[in-house]
Amino acid sequence: MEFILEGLAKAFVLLLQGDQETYSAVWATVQAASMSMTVSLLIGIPLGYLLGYLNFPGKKGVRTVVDTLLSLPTVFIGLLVYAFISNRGPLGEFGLLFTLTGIAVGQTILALPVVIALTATAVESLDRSLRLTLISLGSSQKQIFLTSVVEARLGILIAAITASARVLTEVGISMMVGGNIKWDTRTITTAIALETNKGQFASGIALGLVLLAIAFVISFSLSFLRRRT
Amino acid sequence: MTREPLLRLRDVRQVYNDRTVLDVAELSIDPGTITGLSGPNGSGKSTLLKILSLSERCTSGTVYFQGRAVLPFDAEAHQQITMLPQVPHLLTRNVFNNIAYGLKIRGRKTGLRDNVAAAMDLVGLDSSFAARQWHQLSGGEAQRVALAARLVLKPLCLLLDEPTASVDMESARAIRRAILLARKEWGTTLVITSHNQSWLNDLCDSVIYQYNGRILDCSLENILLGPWLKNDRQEFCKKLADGQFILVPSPPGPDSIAVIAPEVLKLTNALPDHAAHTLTGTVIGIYLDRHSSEPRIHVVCGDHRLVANVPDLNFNGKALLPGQTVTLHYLLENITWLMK
Repeated sequence: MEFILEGLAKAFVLLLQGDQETYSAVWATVQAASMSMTVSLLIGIPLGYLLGYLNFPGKKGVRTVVDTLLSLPTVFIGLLVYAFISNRGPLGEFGLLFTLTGIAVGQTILALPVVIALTATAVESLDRSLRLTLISLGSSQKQIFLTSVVEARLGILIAAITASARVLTEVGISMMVGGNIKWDTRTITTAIALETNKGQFASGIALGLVLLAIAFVISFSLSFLRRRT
Repeated sequence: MTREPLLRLRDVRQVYNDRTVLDVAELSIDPGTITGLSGPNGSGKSTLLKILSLSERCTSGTVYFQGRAVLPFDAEAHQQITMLPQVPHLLTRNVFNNIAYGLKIRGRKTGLRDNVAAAMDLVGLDSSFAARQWHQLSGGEAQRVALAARLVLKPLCLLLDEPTASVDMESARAIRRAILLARKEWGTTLVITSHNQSWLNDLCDSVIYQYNGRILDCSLENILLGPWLKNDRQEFCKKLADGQFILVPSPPGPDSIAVIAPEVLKLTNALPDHAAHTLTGTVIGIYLDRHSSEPRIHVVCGDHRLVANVPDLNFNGKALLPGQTVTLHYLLENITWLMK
């Protein structure tokens, strides 16, 4: 127990002193997560809207596939992305292996089903009379999409938060695709895994505290936005 | 010179899951008129409104707007036609932004505040409502906000689906005043569905009757539904709750619908003709028909309400009064059949 408390105390010192190695991992995490979340929201919201809004043959099948992808193991995504972007893989020429962009590709695959599935659920739960109301007011298809997204904003916000949580806390993709390279692709989670292996609990706890702080900022923003909507 | 109809339907059919819910051979709505749509639940009124408002694709047939064949969601026509659905849906924003929505998507942002204020005034909502959120409104207020969101567009055609079905009397009065003003100020053509027959008769220039998706060439009064029974003398009839029988000619089908027009039901104190059949009931109301200006009496016979034209309100030397028991007679050959 003593070494845990000692680690906690050292963690505050590291954070307050601005330990460069710690902040490098934080910065790498923020960069990779920003890239992957931007792409998955840009692709996932329109796809989720279409899945929730349209009725087409095979919709249930598509929905089942998306729901299954929600529980994709991160190490499997890591393996898949590694195979594609390694030198021998079909996308090897882009040189994405052991880069933050490579990690972001894997994290996008992780976040996309979450954004699509939760956006579709949010759109499906919109009042059925919304569409008729918007049509009767003269909305074009584009305006119906944009207004429906605004009306489903809370559900979409929850989709974004849930996806961010998965992206920020994953280890498998960052470890396999990023390679845990110090000052470069070492993220918070891979650094915690490494520091724990080395017995450096203080650094591990410091990074864990940063993750907790990010989680707190996100959930605080959510409750603030919820109040506003 | 005849005016071009604002909206015209030709051979329009709407089929949901192999069931025909609307079948209209021809229907024209003239500009600047108020047309009422009357009919029981499931008669296709809402479907007809959705097709007239170009909000729904019909299975077959053509819709014309100002003489031009248009498809659903036609961008140009959609700017001029707007509909108030039966259940008004407000966007999850305040009253001002709900009313301003249609103007904003049309890019008409000049004088937005004044236009919204004028629309609110038209439906009898004072300016303090502008900042209220959608969930802070009563049912009647929400209906008025939804109507204001349509009226602010100054539409050429406004279709209203049961606009006063679930609102308080004050809101119903405000809605009526607002739509009449819209017609007066901008010449807006109005098509209104309602279950309230007298409200429609009072408000509309003409009333269209719908039954089972079809437009009837008679009113919905005195419609008799099957099943048709045979009495001891093998005559077809309908049994009423009080034990009386309404005799009918041989029905063309088991589900055929019979109509006894108000004009062919006569008041009598003695059988004038051996071929005539009688029904006894209680007068529950006396009205002056707005269009024909003839007096009509509403008589309850068993569980049926029948309407009869009466040329003279003096009967047997006394004035007819509600509560009075009367005998009506009709001839079998005057009963017509509506095919189902």
